[in-house]
Amino acid sequence: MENRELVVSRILTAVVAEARRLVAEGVATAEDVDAAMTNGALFKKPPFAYTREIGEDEMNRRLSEYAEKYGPRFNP
Amino acid sequence: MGDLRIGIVGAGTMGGEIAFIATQAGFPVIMKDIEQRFLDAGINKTKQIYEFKVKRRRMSPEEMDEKIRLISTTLNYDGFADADFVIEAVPENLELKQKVFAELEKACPDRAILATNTSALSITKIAEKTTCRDRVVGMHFFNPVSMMRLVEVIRGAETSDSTVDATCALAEAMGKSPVKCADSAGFIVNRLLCAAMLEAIRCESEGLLPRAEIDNALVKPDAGLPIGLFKMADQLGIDLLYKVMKILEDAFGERLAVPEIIKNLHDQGALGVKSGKGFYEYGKP
Repeated sequence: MENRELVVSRILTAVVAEARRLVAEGVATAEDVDAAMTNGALFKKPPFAYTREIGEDEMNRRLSEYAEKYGPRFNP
Repeated sequence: MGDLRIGIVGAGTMGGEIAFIATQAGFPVIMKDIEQRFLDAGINKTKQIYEFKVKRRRMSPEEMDEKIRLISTTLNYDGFADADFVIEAVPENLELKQKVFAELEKACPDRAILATNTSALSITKIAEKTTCRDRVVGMHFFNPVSMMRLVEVIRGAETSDSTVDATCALAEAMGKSPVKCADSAGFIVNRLLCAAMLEAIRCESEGLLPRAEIDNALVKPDAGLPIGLFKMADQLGIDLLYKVMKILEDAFGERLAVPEIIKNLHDQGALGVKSGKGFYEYGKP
C-alpha cells in the first residue's frame, strides 16, 4: 500500500476504533456518533458509515492487523 | 416554545454567536457579562453576522434591527428572574463555571434550565455547587455557531430526562441538530478528533509522510475531511487542543495521551494561527 493510502486508512481507522469504544461505553449511539461527526466536524466519512463502505469484515481485519503492527489502540 | 426568554452568560465570540441563533429564531435574549466592553463586543459579534446576511440580501435592514432589538444586556443578573433557559459561555475554568451556576440558581426562576456550553469540562462537576442539578445540562455548540449544525446535549449524573428533552427541543427550534451524549471526557467530537489527530502525528513521526502531505491527503474524496488535521489544530489553537488532550489523557490514559510535539509547541507559545506559528508558519499575527 502506498504511504498516502496507509496514512488515510490509519487515521480513519483510529477514529473507528475510538468510536466503537465510545458506543460500547454507552456515551452515545452509533447513529448519533455519525451525525455528530458529520454536523460538528464535517466528516464525509464518519466512522460507522465508513465501516459500512469498506465492509464490517474488512474493518475487523484491518483493526486486528493495525493492533498487531501499531498498538492496542486499534484493538477491535 | 416561541415565548421562551433566553439568558446568555458570557458575551464573548460564543455568546455573541448564540445570541444570533437565538434571536434569529425569534427568542428574546438577555446577555450578561462582567464589563460593558465585553457586552459591547458580544453585541458587535451578533451584529456582524446579521450585517453579513443583509449584505447578501438574505435579510432586510429593518428585519435586522428588529432582531437586534430582541437583545438586552446587563452587568448583574437583572432580567434573569424571567429567564426560562440560560446558556453559559464564560471561559473554560471549572471554578468560574461553578460560581456562575451557583449565582444562576439564585437569580433564575425554579423552572429555568441552566445549560453550559463547555467543550471539555464535566457537566456533573459544573453542577456540583448547585442544588438544582436535575436542571443543569451541557449544550455544546460548535464554532462558528451560525454555520455548524451540531449541538452535543450532555447529560450530567443528575440531569433529568425533561431537561435533556427541553434542551434538544430548543436546539431544534434554533435550527440545530442535537445529539445526546453522556458526560464523558471529550464528549463525542473532541474525543474522536483527538484520536484522529494523534494518529496523524504518529504517522508523521514514523516518517510515512510530512504533515503538509498528510493534510493534503485528508481533504481528498477518499478521506473526506473538510480540512487537514494539522491545519485544523492551528486554527483551533494549540492551547485549547492541549487542554482537551490533557482531559482525555486523564480520563483514558496512554491511548489518548498528549503527544510530545503538542507539549513542545504549547510550551514554546507556538499556539497556531493566532500566534503566527503552530504546526505551520503564518507570519506575524
